Amino acid sequence: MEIINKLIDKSALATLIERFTKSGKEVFAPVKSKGISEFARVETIQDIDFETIATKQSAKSLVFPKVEKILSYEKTFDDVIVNNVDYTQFPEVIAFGNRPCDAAGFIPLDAIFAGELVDEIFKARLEKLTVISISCKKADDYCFCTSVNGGPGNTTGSDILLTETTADEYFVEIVTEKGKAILDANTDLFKDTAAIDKTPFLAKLEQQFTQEVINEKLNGIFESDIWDKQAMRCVGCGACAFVCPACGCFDIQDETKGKNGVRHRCWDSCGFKIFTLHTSGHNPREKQAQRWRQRIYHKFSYQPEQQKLFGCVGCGRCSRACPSDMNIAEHLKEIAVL
Amino acid sequence: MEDIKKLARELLADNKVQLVLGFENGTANRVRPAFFTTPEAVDKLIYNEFCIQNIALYLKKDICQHAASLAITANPNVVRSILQLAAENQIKEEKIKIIGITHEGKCVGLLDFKAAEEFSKTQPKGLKDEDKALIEKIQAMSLEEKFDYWVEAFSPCIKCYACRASCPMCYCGKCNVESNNPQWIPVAPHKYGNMEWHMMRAMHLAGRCINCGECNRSCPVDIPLNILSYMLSDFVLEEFESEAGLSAVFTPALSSYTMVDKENFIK
Ligand code: SF4
Ligand code: SF4
Ligand code: SF4
Ligand code: SF4
Repeated sequence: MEIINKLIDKSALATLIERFTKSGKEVFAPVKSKGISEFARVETIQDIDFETIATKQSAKSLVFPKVEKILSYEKTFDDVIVNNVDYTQFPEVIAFGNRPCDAAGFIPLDAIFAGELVDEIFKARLEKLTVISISCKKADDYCFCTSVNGGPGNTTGSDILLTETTADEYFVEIVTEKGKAILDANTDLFKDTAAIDKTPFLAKLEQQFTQEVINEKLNGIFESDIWDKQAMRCVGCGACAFVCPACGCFDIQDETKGKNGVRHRCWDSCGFKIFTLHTSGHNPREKQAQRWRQRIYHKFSYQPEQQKLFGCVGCGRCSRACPSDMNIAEHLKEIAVL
Repeated sequence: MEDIKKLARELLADNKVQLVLGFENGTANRVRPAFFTTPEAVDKLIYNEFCIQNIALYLKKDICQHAASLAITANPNVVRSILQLAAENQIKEEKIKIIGITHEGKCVGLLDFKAAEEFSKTQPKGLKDEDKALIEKIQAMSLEEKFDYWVEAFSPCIKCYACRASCPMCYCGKCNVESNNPQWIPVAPHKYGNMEWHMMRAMHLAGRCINCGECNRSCPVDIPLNILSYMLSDFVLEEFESEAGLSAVFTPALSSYTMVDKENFIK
């Protein structure tokens, strides 16, 4: 669909959010609590944190929660009765005020969960999700979206993108049919406009490398000692993967009590030692450096090969969350000039 | 800082150590752990008020395990960690040179274990005012309120295990949460899964935690789980007159029994 350009002023935006909540849609937006900004359910525009560059965790939990029940089961005398969760009943969710990188993150997740094999639960959540992003006025030392084909005003993955042009007004880009449905239902709130050059209203962020160069360089450095060097201070936690909008690894856990049980899906990380531990005791990724290498190869080599896209949107969350200041952009830059 | 660098350079130049574990500049105004193997590399070594990550953690990692001898820039938290690791037979005195640094950032030179014990006594654990306030607040709660407080506090936990991975005393090769036969602790980060994980961790650290606060600093969702360990430290001190991180010879309260042990906490 061709992008439709509109304007919306801030009071109309407040009304739009109220209409969402009144009509039973769940609105999730960055909310600051105890100094930390995270996506949380909001009722009005006043609840929303517009300032923080990036929430600590990404918006992925809206489609891929940290833990979710996928089925329950019951053993009978000679059978097992399985009850799938009713994924037709998920609520309509609006992601509001997320950054363009968050929106872009839904695309690699979609490729993981709904590529060749379709995960119905994930798909149902994604179908019920409308993404209304806000362009970035500021970037920080961890952001590198412009190095991975994104940008502070990038529309990829968003249904609607808002760019603040004056203290009272946003330039609106309606990107998808889902976005258009919102426009059509609320035409009174939007004003007409011609396309606007967003550049003056966006953060300036220098490109440090290209993902294509990383992809090329990865051919042939699998055995390089760079992985040992880079991963030396990595402590092997799951923080980077768990805050990442594009990381989709999960673990399936059955919790049984007597004859009944529940099957959960929960986040997992390739940074953990037991992620690849075999029952025999053998671990193909025994050292942290091998796990770090996997993280980079998966995002910049295996995903491009298998899914024709990259698994990193340059949000910098992994670097911000890392207890040992493993800065992924810095590491990628190092690889780019090898 | 210059005296720390000079010491580190000399140790490497004289082949007294193969590796110096310290800090270098990181992203923006952050600092990061760094490993120095040549006197020239030490140019990049820094020490300032931001160097608070408890790098004693790395003593149990491959890079330090493989070094025949090493030095470490050690603030009071790191010194206490080393003493406790030594007490638990995890590190030998002949392998490690401790470059002692006070809370104020003053280098006191190399410390052997005996000197480190003295140093630890004069550099008491520095709990932050907000930590003390939170401890007081929780202590004033009833048992039910305490339980509810912690259920709530642990609810945002995503089980990234950054707290465990960053804690110098969480060095087990296989953590209890990794056991799946039997499965002691639920893997899922739901209410009970989180509560059981944190209760298990707190119990395994009871009287062993050296109160550095690293678990809290590394937590991406800022859970004050260090407070639980601090409170257990106080409890163990009160009930068993035992305090971690003060001596390289130490019998943990949890794995010993004496005739004077009180049992009045069993209710
Ligand atoms: S890179 Fe950082 S966040 Fe990721 S596993 Fe290593 S220490 Fe943890
Ligand atoms: S790898 Fe890091 S920078 Fe890239 S999308 Fe994930 S969290 Fe963001
Ligand atoms: S404060 Fe936390 S990180 Fe430090 S020793 Fe205690 S439990 Fe470990
Ligand atoms: S670091 Fe925080 S979120 Fe991660 S497991 Fe520990 S308490 Fe949970």
